[in-house]
Amino acid sequence: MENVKNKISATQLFCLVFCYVLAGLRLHGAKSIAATLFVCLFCVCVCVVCAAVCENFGSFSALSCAVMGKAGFVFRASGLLLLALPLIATLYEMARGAANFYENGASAVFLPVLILLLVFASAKGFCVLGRFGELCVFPLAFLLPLSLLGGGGHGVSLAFGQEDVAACFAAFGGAPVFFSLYLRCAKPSERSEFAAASSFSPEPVACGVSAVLAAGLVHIFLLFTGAGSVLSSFLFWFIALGRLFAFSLSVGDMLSLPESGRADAAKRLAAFAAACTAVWLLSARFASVCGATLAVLNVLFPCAVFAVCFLRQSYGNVRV
Amino acid sequence: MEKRVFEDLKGNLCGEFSLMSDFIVRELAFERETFYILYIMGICSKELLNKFLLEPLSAAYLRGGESAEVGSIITGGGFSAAVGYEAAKEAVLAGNALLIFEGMPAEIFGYIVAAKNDEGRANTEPETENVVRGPHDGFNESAQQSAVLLRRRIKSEKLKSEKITLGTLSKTEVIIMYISGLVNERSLALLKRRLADIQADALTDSGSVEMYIQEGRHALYPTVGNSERPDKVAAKILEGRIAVIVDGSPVVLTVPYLFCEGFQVSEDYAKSPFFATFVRTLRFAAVLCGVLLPGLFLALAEHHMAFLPQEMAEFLAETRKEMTVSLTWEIITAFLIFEILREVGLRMPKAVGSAVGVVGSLILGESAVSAGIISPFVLIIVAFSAVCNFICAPYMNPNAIFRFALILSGGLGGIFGFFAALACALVLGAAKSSFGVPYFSPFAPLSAEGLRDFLYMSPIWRMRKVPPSVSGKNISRTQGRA
Repeated sequence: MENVKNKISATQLFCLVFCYVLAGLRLHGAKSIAATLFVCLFCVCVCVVCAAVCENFGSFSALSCAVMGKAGFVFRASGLLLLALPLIATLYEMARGAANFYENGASAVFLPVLILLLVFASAKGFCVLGRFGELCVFPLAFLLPLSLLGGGGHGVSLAFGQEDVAACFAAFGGAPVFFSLYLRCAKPSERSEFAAASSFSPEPVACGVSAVLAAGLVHIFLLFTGAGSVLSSFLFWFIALGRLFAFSLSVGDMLSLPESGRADAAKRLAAFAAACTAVWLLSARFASVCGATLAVLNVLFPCAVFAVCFLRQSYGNVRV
Repeated sequence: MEKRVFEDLKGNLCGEFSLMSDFIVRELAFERETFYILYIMGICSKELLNKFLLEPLSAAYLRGGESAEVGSIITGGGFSAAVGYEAAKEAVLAGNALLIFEGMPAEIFGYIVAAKNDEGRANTEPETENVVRGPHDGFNESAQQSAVLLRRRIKSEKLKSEKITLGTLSKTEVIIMYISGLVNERSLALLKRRLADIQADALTDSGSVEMYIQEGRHALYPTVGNSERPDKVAAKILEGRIAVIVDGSPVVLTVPYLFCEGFQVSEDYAKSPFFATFVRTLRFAAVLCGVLLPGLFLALAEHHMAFLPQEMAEFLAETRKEMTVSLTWEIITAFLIFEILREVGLRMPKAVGSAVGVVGSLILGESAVSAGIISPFVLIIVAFSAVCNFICAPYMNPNAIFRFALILSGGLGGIFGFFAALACALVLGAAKSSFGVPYFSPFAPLSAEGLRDFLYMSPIWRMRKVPPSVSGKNISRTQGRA
């Protein structure tokens, strides 16, 4: 039962990936169709790699042990560092977007509220994050028609300049998120009795790929129709919350929070918060260097994991 | 049984029920044996007592019958031996008659004759759950009769009914009914455990039982369903739910209870699927309006006037020129007045209540607008939201509280405050479960079979499977086209 509570279903994986990609594209201002397609393509590749690698593992700690053996802690720490900046960037963009609707709004006021929401939801368990991810998709039913009244999009382009590249990588965020989502996706033996009884049980890889493609299509649609009204933003915030919850799930997975006691979990979270603060301060000072480094590492991360697992399968005992 | 032991038993039983003017000891003295019949007048039926016990016993002994053949002398369906003193006492308290005589075996403390007086209110249609098309019978205060109404609709040996007693003083009879093989065993075990954990002197209504067994200590939204309609409860049992019938209450509880059930009405299944889908969507939209509209309006009008359409902003500014209170207090005051009037309408005698409600609301509304306490625009928003709230009876009361929370968050924090409050509520809802079943099922977690009976309503012949989200089983219904 505890395993089920800390697992998400394939459908929830779809919803979380969808929210993650769509929110990333909108929050980080990917206005170029080419950039959107590039991000989607990259995400699809990452989803396929994750589905292949994570099939036999149930958590990031299990994967990290398989990849680096006793030095798995290093692997997890590097994954957390890769997550820190995109998580902060998403929080910041959301807070900034909210502040735009207030006369004297400062993002610093909204950041703690978002962080509290994150902690509050995460404390309920991964299963709840997954269910909320499913709920996050429903505002689309109102957002899409509302966007048609938006008066048209502005600045839609096919260009793929430096700014668009930066937006792409910012939108992609951290590769470890995809890994955690696939790791925590319940295998057939781990499904709850209700999920097992349902006749609809899609494959996780298909869910991830279709979620990415769907997010790309919706983003392009919103680029053309324009959805900048306060109501549209209000509805979009739920989708953005889905992205934050995907981050939160990944952080929780990498810190092994479900398996640890309360006191231990609090210590690990505090250490992660301290690391995030350090990364944020560093990136504020060396913005372009950090951005470029992060982009490269995020590309290399899934490739490295796949390569190690493939090599271990060929020469060791890890199945890919 | 020895004479001394018998006299002790008789003395103890009579002593237990001393100072009870309705406790009767009827002595039937025959040549060979003297019988004592103990019962409580009123809850034991005199007619049944005469018919099943007194007349047959007298007739048998006048013919020269043997006391050992008491079981064959007594007519009537319910006849059993009380194998303990407590069982004998409980039988009398439950409305049965207890027959004792010296010739009983030593291990028997009396013979229980079922003669309970089940007369009560007729099975009339419940006032709170009217339908235009559908059966017009309803449960009444007798648990046994309510169980019979369900038994009549589900004539299967798989429909099980288990009886338990709750309340140390009230000894309220509670019957649990479910379909074996369909019910979720985990939910059933959880229900039985929660019922067994109830420590109370008296439970006279199903509402009290509901408070004890619901999920969470301070639940706002119900996790236990209730209904006075036998057709509705039977349909729920057929989907794998469990019915809890409490003696003394016409309201039968059903568990698990999911959020989507509040939008389902038994009449929907007799309508065209298109119209049923339309009506359900309307209900859902109305509930959303009733809950979200005031808070959203307040957030936009108080903090984000610049983002409203210009004509609306100018109109709002014009109507609020002479207002003496802030918009937040205006809306809160309007809702509080409405809730007071609603409560007055419910509690006052019928002859006066409706008139007071109508006149009070008209006079109060008119006066409040004239005095500058409430603007006409706000009055329209409040009235519309309040009316929308009534469309979904199970959520009328929780929505009223939730609406206040959203009004406060919208008024204090603007659109982001409103969003944060709503997000928190959705997280709490996603975390909630009802007897092991996720509360927001079938849309979170998503269930394709369950969605056929939520907003979109499939024709009934297409609902080939029992909703797996409740039963946890993949079972086909035998109806449907080949």
